[in-house]
Amino acid sequence: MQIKSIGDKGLVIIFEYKIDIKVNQKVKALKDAIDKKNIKGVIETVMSYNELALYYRPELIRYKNLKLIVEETYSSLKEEIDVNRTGIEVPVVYGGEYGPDLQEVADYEGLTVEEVIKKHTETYGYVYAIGSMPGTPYIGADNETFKIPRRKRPRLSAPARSMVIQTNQTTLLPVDQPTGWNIIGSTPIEIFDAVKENHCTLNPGMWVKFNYITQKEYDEIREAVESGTYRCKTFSY
Amino acid sequence: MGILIRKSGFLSSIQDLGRYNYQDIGVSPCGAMDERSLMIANILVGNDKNDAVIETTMMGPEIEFKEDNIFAVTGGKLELKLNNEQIEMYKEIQAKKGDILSFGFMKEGCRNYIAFKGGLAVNKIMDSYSTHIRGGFGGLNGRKLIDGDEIGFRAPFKEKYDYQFKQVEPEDMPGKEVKIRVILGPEEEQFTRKGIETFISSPYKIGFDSDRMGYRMSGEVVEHTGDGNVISSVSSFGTIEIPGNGQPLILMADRPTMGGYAKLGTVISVDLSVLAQCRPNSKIYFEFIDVEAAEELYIKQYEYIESIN
Repeated sequence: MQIKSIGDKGLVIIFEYKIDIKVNQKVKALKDAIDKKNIKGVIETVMSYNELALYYRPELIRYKNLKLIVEETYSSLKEEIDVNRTGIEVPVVYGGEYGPDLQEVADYEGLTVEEVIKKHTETYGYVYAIGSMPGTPYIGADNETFKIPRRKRPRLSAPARSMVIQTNQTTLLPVDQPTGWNIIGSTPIEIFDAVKENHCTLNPGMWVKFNYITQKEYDEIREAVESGTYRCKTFSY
Repeated sequence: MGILIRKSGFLSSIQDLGRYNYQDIGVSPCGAMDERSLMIANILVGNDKNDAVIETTMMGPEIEFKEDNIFAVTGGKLELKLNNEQIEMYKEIQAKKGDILSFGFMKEGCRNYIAFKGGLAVNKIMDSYSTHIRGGFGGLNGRKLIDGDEIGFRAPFKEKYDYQFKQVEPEDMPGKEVKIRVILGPEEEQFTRKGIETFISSPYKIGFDSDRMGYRMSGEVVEHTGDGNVISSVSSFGTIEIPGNGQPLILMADRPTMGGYAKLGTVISVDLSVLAQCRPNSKIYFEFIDVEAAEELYIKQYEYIESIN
């Protein structure tokens, strides 16, 4: 574990350099412990796969002192972090107009489209972080799934709520935006809402299971989402 | 009421000091590129230093006052006119209903901040007035200003006979060659010694494709130990990412909260306001300083801002 500066208003705690659920859960545990402390001068905490950043106001607290508080908090964490086992089901329509790259993925993997969908829906995903654009989840598969890399030529624009993949990672796009990942489907749920109470559907440390739905179900869920009545199903993994 | 944007200029948007507390759900802070100038503009008109202002870029707007109010303009040096009379920058000015504020040619610097007394009548979204242009929320309808926009005043001020119009010394704007101080890290081990040496011993030009998201720099290739890609890590305002091509990218106000390129350092807070006023094609010379020295400089600026408040 290393503690370093990121500029003069940021402190970052860096754990083992790998995409690993146990490491990420340690980051989450430290984030929760520090958030609970409400340290004067700390504006907010942000986590990535293996790091936790604290943004602070130098006029209220200096890097030197903040580092001591962080070290103290870290040493007070439990040795074994209990891995969170709760998750939500994300409904997805695969292929067709929503997933223009699905066939390409199947061809690359040497599978049929049905086999790709089966693999993707049977795999549990873990949310390592939310970043890049508002609400965008970085979801890593619990095991080896696909090998397909990012596209050589990123797309200039993919529609909002597209589900895109590369190797073992999946993400959901909150708005129309460029993407270098492979578009395999679309979800009717809202990824991010600036105005609602719960801005984000997914949060770091959650598990995700993708559920295959039909176009009809997609339209029905979309209607429910827009009228504010839809709730994602939760599960324990 | 309030103001009518007759001409929106190159890129004008409503900003404050940024949207904090939501970076952990991927919401970029956005906010002013030049925080120092924004704060001074607000303080001049007696607003909270974090109130909503209009940030303009290079070619400024043409604004018609639909009702009386006081305003102040800070930032890049240019000829400012109220109707056909030249007015001063860094000074509180009373405008009357029907007055037209126009911006001339930008001589030095590149961004201006227009603060209106009592603030602008826009709602906070997620605790901030800042516009998240890519996300489409905040500020005025989540976008840059366009011709014909009307923005109300929250608490317009009509001149009183004994009102003391505040004024401060106009600030220097950066020239064509600028020294920018950086705190090393946190991914300095992704670069060779030679790479780090190159970064601080040769100039980098600000590319014309630079914008509120980042400044794309060009110059001598900065050498990596690996391929320049990292597991996506947290980015701050002024963080310098250097992808495989060895050309630095300085992340600015609209940066994504995380990024997958190796991060060599972060520009110090006080120099961000300088950098925000540097134009494309300017030459930047980077220099490392330690965090304590950078914090001292920041605190000095903080104390100055509090002293004029």
